[in-house]
Amino acid sequence: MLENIAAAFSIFLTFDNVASVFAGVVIGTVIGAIPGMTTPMGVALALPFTFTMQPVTGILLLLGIYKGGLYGGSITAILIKAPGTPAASCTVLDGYPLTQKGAARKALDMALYASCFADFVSNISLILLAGLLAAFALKFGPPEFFTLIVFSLTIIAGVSGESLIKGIASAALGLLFATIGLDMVYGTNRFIFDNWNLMGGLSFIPVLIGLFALPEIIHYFTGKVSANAKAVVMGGAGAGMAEFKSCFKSILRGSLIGVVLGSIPGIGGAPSAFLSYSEARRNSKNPQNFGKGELEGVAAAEAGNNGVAGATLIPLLALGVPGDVITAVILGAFMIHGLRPGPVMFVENITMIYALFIGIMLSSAYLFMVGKFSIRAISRIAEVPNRILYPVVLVFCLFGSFAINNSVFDVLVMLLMGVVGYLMLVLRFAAPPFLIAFILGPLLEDNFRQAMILSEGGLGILFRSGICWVFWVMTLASVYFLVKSRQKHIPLAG
Amino acid sequence: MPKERLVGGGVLLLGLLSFFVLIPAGVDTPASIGHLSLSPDFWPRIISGVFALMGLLMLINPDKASGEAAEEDSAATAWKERFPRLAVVLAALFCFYYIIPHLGMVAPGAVFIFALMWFAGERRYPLMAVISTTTPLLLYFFFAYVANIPIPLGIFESLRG
Repeated sequence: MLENIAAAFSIFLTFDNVASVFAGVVIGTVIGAIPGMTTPMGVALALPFTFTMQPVTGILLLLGIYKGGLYGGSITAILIKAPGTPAASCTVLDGYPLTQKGAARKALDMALYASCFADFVSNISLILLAGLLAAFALKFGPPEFFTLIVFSLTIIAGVSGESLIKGIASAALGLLFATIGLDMVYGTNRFIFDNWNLMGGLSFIPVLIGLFALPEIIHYFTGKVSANAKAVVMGGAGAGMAEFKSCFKSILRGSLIGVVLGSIPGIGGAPSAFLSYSEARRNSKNPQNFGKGELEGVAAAEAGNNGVAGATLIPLLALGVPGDVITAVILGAFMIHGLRPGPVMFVENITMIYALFIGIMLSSAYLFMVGKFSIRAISRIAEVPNRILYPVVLVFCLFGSFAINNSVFDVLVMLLMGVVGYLMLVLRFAAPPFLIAFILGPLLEDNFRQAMILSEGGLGILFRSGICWVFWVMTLASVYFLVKSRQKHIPLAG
Repeated sequence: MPKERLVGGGVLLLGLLSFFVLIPAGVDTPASIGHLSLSPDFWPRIISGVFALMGLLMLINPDKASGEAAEEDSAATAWKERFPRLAVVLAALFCFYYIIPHLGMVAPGAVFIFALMWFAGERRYPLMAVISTTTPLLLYFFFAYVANIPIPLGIFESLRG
């Protein structure tokens, strides 16, 4: 093991790697701080830039963006009541009232401290738990993977927005789009219609960019999106050690909630932030102050939100299953570099895994530095008007889509998916279920059909082992709790 | 009929269209298959069925919260105002796609950024000129010389260094 760690340091300690983590955290923080730009969008836009990088360098850049984005989302949530990420919507509850009271600096500082601490706890959990889970996952065959992916698809209930039925319809559409291309067993055509560009299926990144980035931009240009961000005067004193200590219990509790929920595929940062917030309020001596500018509320929300950051990488690295939309994009980055996260990677590329762990730990330190020294600058970038920002982002999307396969057809795919995404936006169908189903669809079908080949068509194979049963039970439990959680939190979020 | 019911009807129709028209026309099935579940059209049919079922559920029991929010959206910016702007943006996007083989991505990219900034209400022309020319050029140089991806230049191909 020590040899592997030494080898990992030798892989990691290059200027490119150290700089890419830093650049990722800066980019992510900026993107997270810009309302209308999402962390998945930022990760997707950065993905084409990683093609020619070394795998570790490219993946660390994306991980840096992910972590920076989680924190950055809180900046505009606190300053202008416009959360940069869905998970940061909980931070608004007490962050914005603090700004109105002239204590924006204190709220931003506390958000940073809570984010960095939770991120650190989450990273430690990743390092300690991912290897154990990977060893266990070596026992998986097609039926076990099928049940695991069914379990992962329960994420759809958590990201369906205001209507579960629409979320499932969106996911079904994503699954259907994922079937385009050559059939995996017989090699026959499925929805190709003599267009050879479709033989390999739809490229993941143009679909992602089209679905996430383009609809918001189109919506803005049609005059719907309001960009009424006001300039914010950064006022008040910052938060110090005394405030951190007073909020420490809530920060620690939120971090652990984030770790537990983050390690389950599909839960994500928003439920974690809300659960952490509600627990902090329940245990507070001053619950009546929550929602009116309570610093502990900001700390709890941000700890819950950032506690998932490292933990969502546990299922990704150990099982090859993305825990949320962002890790799904990062899974795409692994695949582009010819790597397949999962138990085999822990055997064949353990030094690379350790190198990633080193970079991830470094990202916590960078997050603190970047947050501490650039709060003022970032809040100014957030004031760049959308009328300048969006045309530039649009050209980034067009160049990025082309660059994936040097294909003009991918540009067309991105544009058409943008139209689909815009229709979904207008008709209020959530896009994340589509994307998650689009990514997991081929894995689901492939493992199901492999299992059917093994059993000669018998469905009993899907219950052949304890692992299968565990995942079936977890699926049922997850659906139950996610639906309950939806009933509880959607009125609050709305 | 409430808007949500219309959306549900549309989803149901699309699901049925996929099940009965698109799949038979677009999925080639071998003459002999081992089991029904191995057929290339097995999975698409299940998915289309689920999609149609969701449409049916929306039609029977429209979601009030979602419907109200959608109605609010419609009221906030009337389609009469929104549609011409949408048409312009979509036309610009697809024009960009169609002229890539002829003019490449850099020059149209500059025009595209400038035009969209103007369309969105920006009127600081020197700033617009600087941003619209530097952005595609920087992207071109990054992709061409750092990532080794030959961004198309169309009729300006001879300018490639």
